[in-house]
Amino acid sequence: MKTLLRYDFLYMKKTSKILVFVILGIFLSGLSVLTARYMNELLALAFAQEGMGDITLPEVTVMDAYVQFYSNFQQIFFFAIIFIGIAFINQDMNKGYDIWLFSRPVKRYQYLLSKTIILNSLVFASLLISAVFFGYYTFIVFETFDILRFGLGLLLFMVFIKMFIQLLMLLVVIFEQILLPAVIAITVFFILTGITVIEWAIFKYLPGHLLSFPLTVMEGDILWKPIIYAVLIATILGFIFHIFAVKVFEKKQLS
Amino acid sequence: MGGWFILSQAEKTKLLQINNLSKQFKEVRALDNVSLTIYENEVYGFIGKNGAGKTTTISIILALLKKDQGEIIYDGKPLEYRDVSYKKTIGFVPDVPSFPTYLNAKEFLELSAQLVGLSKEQSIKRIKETLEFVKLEHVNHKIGAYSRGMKQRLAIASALLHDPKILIMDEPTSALDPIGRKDVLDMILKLKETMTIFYSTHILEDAEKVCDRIGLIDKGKLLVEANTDELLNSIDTDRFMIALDLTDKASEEVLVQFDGFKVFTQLKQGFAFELKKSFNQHDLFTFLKDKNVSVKAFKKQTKSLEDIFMEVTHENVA
Repeated sequence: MKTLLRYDFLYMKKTSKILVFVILGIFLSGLSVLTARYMNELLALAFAQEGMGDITLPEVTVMDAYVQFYSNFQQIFFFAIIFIGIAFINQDMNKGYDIWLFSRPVKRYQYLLSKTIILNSLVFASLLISAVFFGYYTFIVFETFDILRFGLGLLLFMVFIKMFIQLLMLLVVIFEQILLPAVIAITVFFILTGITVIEWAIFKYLPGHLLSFPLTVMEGDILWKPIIYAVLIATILGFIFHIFAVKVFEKKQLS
Repeated sequence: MGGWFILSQAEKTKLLQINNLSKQFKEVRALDNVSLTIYENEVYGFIGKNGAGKTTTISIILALLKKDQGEIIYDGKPLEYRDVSYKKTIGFVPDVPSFPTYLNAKEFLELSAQLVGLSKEQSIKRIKETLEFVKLEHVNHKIGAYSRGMKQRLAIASALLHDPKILIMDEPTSALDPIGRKDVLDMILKLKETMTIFYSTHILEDAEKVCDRIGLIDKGKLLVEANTDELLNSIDTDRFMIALDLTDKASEEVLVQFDGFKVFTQLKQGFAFELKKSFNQHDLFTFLKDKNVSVKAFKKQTKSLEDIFMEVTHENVA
């Protein structure tokens, strides 16, 4: 297992994936703060060009920075996770390295577990670095930063990502390619976020809400019941995806 | 097995035994009740055309593929699909090695050594030894920059790190140039003194050079399993080779008039032929003597593994 972890880590390191995640995270964090800080100036400039210079814009607050952070990370960073994650999981099967690995005493469930651990660790580490940078920069610019609430929101986002990584794993193991899993994953993402408008029965607790909870937490409302249920459902789904991925992979014919 | 025979190996220790192995891929029967035995310290040549079932057999041994039926006994124990521990004593060299191109050879060998459970100290020692054995240089270069031959050397080094009981080689020379091929065959000849080798190939010339025993497989069926030397020596041939004085063009024209040829081929060094059953070599000599044709050379041709392979696979088609 240790060797598999080292192997997967070397892939991330040697193919600059670590650098990509960290740089992208820091860039998006910085961009979020700057966009929030200069949002009014940018909007005023845009309105002036359209001849609507007399529109009064509300004063920007630290909340705008949080909104920018989550929208950037839930879109750009999240899609980077999908594509890099799929390429990472798929590379051994796609390039034939699986024959080298599995002609050695390598257990298939350990192989998938190692991929899960490394991908999650990399994403979480780069998110943490980004969050620290964002927190520091936000404090400098807005002179306030709620570490606890932001930390809680980030944890909820991480739970969603973790579930999604398990889904990616399952899709790649089934289809053994990049395009179809990516299309399905993106479709699932849109469905999950789309059905959050349904505030009825179990729909209130579906994992898609984990993407909106961080902002409601920052706004001051912490609704523990839906948060706990959504976390539980996402965790259970992630576990089910992992078990299915292992089952499918155990039966996979490698050649 | 159409008149072929299995030679007794009762005195040797069985290392790998395959009994009635079958595998179906949708409509294709890739393996059909294949049974074979590999004894310790021999080079077993597993010979067959592309698509005959060689790689499928190897993939099942390595648990890359699941068998439909049959049994594989390795080192006295039946293999279970999910049990991977037996692979600690198996080395595998694929036909086209695909290794992580972003790693250098040293990193790759370190990972390979750790995957089979070698300690750090053992890894360092074995990596040095195997690299010397395969004569691989530029170990700090990325594998992506390696030639096909270098990758094959790396594959052999990686397979030998843990000093396996059996080395399984799946067509290791198939895509190499003549020098690369010779190097790999030389390595096998060195290794055969200390190791059991399961050598799959469709290059019969190579198999003839290095294999102690061979198994011929075609369309998923094992057609022959025998000692290479005995197989080659035991089969009589009715093919001859004759060389005439080539300055005399008329002699050639006379020769082709002989009625007893079943097969007749002109070669660079003379003529190869087989006689019809009702004729023998004395009839030919009498014919040539009557026509005053002088013979420069005459010899009976020995059969190569290729001839045997063609004959056996032809019987399989029939």
